[in-house]
Amino acid sequence: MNRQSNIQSKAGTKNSCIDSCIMEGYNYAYLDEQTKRMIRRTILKAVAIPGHQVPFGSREMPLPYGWGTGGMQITASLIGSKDILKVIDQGADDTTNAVSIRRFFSRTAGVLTTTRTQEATLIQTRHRIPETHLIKDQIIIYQVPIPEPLRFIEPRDKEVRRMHALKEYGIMYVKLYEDIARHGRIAKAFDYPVLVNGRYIMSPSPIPKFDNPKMNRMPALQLFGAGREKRIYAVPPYTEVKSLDFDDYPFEVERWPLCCALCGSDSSYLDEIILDDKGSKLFVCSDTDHCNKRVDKGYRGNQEKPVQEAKTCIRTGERKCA
Amino acid sequence: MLSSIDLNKLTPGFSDPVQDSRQTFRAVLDAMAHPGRIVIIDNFFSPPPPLNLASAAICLALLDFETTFWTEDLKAKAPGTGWLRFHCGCSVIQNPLEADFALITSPDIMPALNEFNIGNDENPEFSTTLIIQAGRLSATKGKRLTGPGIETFSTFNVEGLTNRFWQDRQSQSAIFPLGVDIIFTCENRLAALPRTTKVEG
Repeated sequence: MNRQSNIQSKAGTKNSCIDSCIMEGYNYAYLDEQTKRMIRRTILKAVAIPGHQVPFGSREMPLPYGWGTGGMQITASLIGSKDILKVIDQGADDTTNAVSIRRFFSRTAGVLTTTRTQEATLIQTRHRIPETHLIKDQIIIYQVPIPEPLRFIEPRDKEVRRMHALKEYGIMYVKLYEDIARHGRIAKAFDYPVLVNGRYIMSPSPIPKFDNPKMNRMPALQLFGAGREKRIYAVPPYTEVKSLDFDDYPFEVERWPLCCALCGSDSSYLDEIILDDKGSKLFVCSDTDHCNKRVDKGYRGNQEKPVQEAKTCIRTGERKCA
Repeated sequence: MLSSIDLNKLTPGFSDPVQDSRQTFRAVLDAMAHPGRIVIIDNFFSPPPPLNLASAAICLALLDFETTFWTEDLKAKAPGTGWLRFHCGCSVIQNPLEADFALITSPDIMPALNEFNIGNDENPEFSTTLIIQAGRLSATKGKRLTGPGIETFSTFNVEGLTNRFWQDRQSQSAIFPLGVDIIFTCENRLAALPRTTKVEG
């Protein structure tokens, strides 16, 4: 086992792991074959019924629930030696969760890993969709904590299933209406519910609503895995995914009055980085691959001028790039 | 009653069960996510008649002791059924309504689609997946497919199916999300028609 411990994936490069460095003593890609078959059958049904949550026999994984066990079980059932895996956590390739999941699959399945969105065949993600447009034949796998969009409105699972069966979604619109009555706008900023193929209301996982429009008619296959909640669901390529809204309160995404401090991007989703205990902060791209790619091309942001007060703004218009 | 399996005549299945199952599943997933796309199973073994290579590979990759399996050749004691029972350990059943997977080797005399399990309102995923061995699959002229998985439309032609089959399929589109999902196979090729796909022509 120690023999393989030097495998690392360097940011921006494929690592050079080949079959010989697969960890011994475990089945290929960790899960046993019977479990994989069960998950594979579930995935096929999920793809055939877009947006419908299909229960599956979720297994214990060598990390706790909430760390992406659902996504990992899907990845383990799909992954093979020809795949190139990218894993992101909140858009970043270099966070603990992303690094350890990537290393897990290079050890147990001997696959190449990458941080570059365009060269990945499988992308496992927590809470973001990459800024780079996904293309035909890529597969994006979302880690989902709570797959049921109606859970906080109707906690009884039996009732919720009935509501999905009857397409009885009035209660969800009432919830959104109450938001407008109370706050003047639909207050949900992440995990914003969508209607898939005109039939099922689905949780897009806790991605910011900024990412919701990317799901609509995406050329890549989208798979969702919830390990603790034991559900798998899917959106096939080119499927209509509509964020719920009202005619007079149309869906809109968050905007910032600033550009990325590193690459100057005026169209990406920004994270707030606190710089000191006086509250100085910078806003930078949450998608590290997108940001690095722009910096490599020579784009620069205004790093020298930290922002002194909160400037995350939800409804104002154009960004002014200094 | 089912006949016992003649072990002397059994031929091997996948030479590398882990990788071959995975590749076959990815081929089926590719087909299911892109209805009408013809996908090739890149594998070589000799399944017994009446199974073709693609059907046999799909069964080896997806069936096991948890799944129920129906085929019309059950009564004819075709060697294919014994082979699947041996390699997959699936329970072969008499009633297509209870089948998770069904294999149709003679599509001209197959039962109506509503004789299979179409799922129920809360669990549409309980429906049967049909594997239909067709005469020929092509992506040239023929049926016009639209729906999830298809950018604009795709053309698809499959030989050996009756008009009644297409009428059945048409009437199933009205009961979505219920309905059966279909995988057509021919030699080492396969294409899928999930319940979401709208078929015209």
